[in-house]
Amino acid sequence: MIDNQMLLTLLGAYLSVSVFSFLYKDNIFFSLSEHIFVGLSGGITLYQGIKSIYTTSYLPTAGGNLQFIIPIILGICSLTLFTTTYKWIYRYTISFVIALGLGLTVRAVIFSGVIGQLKATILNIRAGTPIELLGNIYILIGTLCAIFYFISTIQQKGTTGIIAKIGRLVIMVAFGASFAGEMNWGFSQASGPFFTIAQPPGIYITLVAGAIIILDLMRPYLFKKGNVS
Amino acid sequence: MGWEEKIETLPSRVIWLIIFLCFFIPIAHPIGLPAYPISETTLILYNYLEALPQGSVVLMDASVGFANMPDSGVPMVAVMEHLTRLPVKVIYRPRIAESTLVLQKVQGDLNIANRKVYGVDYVNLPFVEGVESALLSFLSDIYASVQTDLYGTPIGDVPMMKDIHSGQDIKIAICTISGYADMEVRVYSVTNHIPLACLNFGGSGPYMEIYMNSGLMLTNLSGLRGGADYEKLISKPGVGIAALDALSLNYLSIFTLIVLGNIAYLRIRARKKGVT
Amino acid sequence: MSNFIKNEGPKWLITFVTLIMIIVFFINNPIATTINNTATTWGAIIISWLVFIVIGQLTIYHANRVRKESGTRRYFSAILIFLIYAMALVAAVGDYISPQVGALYASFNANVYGVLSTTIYALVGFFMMSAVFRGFRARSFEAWGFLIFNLIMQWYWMPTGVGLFPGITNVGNWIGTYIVPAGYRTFVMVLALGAIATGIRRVLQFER
Repeated sequence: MIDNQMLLTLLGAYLSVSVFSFLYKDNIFFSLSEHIFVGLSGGITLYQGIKSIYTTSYLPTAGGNLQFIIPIILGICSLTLFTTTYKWIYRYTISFVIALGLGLTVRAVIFSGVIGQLKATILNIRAGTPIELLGNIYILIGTLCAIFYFISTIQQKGTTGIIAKIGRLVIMVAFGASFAGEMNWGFSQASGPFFTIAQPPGIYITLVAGAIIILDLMRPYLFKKGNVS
Repeated sequence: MGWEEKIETLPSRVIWLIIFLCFFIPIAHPIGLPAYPISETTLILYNYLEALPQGSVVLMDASVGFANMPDSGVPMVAVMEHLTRLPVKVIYRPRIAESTLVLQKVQGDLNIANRKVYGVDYVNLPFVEGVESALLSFLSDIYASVQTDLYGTPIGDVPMMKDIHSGQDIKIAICTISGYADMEVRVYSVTNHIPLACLNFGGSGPYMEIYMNSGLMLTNLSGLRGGADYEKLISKPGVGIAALDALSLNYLSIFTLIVLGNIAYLRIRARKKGVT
Repeated sequence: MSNFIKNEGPKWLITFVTLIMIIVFFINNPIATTINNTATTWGAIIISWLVFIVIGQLTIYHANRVRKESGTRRYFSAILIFLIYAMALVAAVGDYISPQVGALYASFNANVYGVLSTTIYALVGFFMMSAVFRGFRARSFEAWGFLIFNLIMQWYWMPTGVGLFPGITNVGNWIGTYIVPAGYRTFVMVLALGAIATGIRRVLQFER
């Protein structure tokens, strides 16, 4: 008995397998699925965006709170981007947004990105177990050497060149170690659709698609001259 | 053409096929590879939540879409299940448009509506555009930032929100993100001094160590592994534990391919040096 | 005057607002707090209106594809535009008019859109792995360091790694606690200093 739930699951499995077919070769099924994805995402974003405007702009203003009139006007002015004559008004909206983001970032990054990191690098040189002490010394020396690598105003030759090389090695080793975790992200992302296409009912669509791909691979051999009956 | 040249010129489709099969087979038919110990970072969050006094307010700040569900969504589901078992109040706040739908789906899957009372034990807030500025505005004055809950009820009429006015009333913020938590650290830890735990993507662990070491972050759970750890702690197997076999097989296959590729590369290089 | 309003005005707005946002953070004063809160709320409101820019640009681009291109794939652009507005309409109907439509919409999102978006991102994982296979070669001394630590950490992240090599948890934790922060801390500091420098350049209008 096929109900709504099973139909939707089969549709999801079909679209998922269509996307995976891109790994074999670019085809019309993948292209259609890609456009469907962008369309659906756009629809969700549009609706949630309108709801957000309702919550943040309409409700306070309708409740008599007129302090938000200016940002509402700036928000509406952003739509002038679609005109030719009044496009310059859009610059004020985007300038405010850029300035806000810049201000928020700069003022807090001083603490989180500079002071906090310096404190953690320097103050951690305390006696602990030998392994911890070794690690803390590595962090201090490694961080300093790595920072030195980025200083381009000093010529990196001789002793300074060796320090810069150590810094580069520290950075590469850190990247190598952390990239294994990035691979974890890649595998985790890749595992998601398999819970639909590797289990019933989606697995039947996967097997049909697999059979089509195998037939396509065998086509040059099946239809060689002399094989055609 | 020796095996070294064949490895070096291996088509990408073959690699993709290997990865596809390494996912397909264990998920279609679980193998049951050996288990591993639970990480310390997961225990930190679990113990912190267990120690929360009754009635504490927890903010679940979700910036995850359906696409991220197999990664940072896995620990989020496990933590939401844990929070449902605890006597705490939870504010669910979506930070991107899709998170509204994701949170509602997970709440439906976990049957939270029948286990807790909406408005008393938990509340769903609407999505507000703006990321950092919206978050700062929310934490400084919740009533000015959101006028209603997700279903249109004025925020002042939601029973649990009567005593919650700003970020100062929040005991811990649990952010489900899929990127680097610089913004979260700036907003929660630096500006508002709220304990912060991140449920993040798989590769985030080492990068977040720098914030954990500096005391700017309580802990960070990394993707599928972190989620599987948490599922073990709360004794509720889910996607995390189910995908572990697939993760192991994939790591083994990529490890083998990288080693073989490097042996082939070094042999070819040695051969060329020998010739010249 | 016209040139000032159209071109210079926005730059001075950036300078003024950025300076205000930085200054109020360091002043412990009710007026400064009010300015800070008001500015962030204004930002949230303005950004919510930008959704129309995103959807508008997408619609215009794909409408041009329907008009100007030939072949079957231009009809896919028409399907895309239709789906944007149909999906938004169905969501609105589901939320405000018909709970049955709302339930179907939620089920559609979970079983169709959710799986589709997961798969699109899954492709990234596949491409990453083939790039890893091709790119991870010990071509230099630093590359050896990169490769060795990457292979060690792969065992750490592998769920069954500890079953095959019991000490890998301690090794991996040590590497994650000390080796990785040494490199990443540098990046965080360098990026932070870069952000501060860019901010100062924008405020002083050196950036065009």
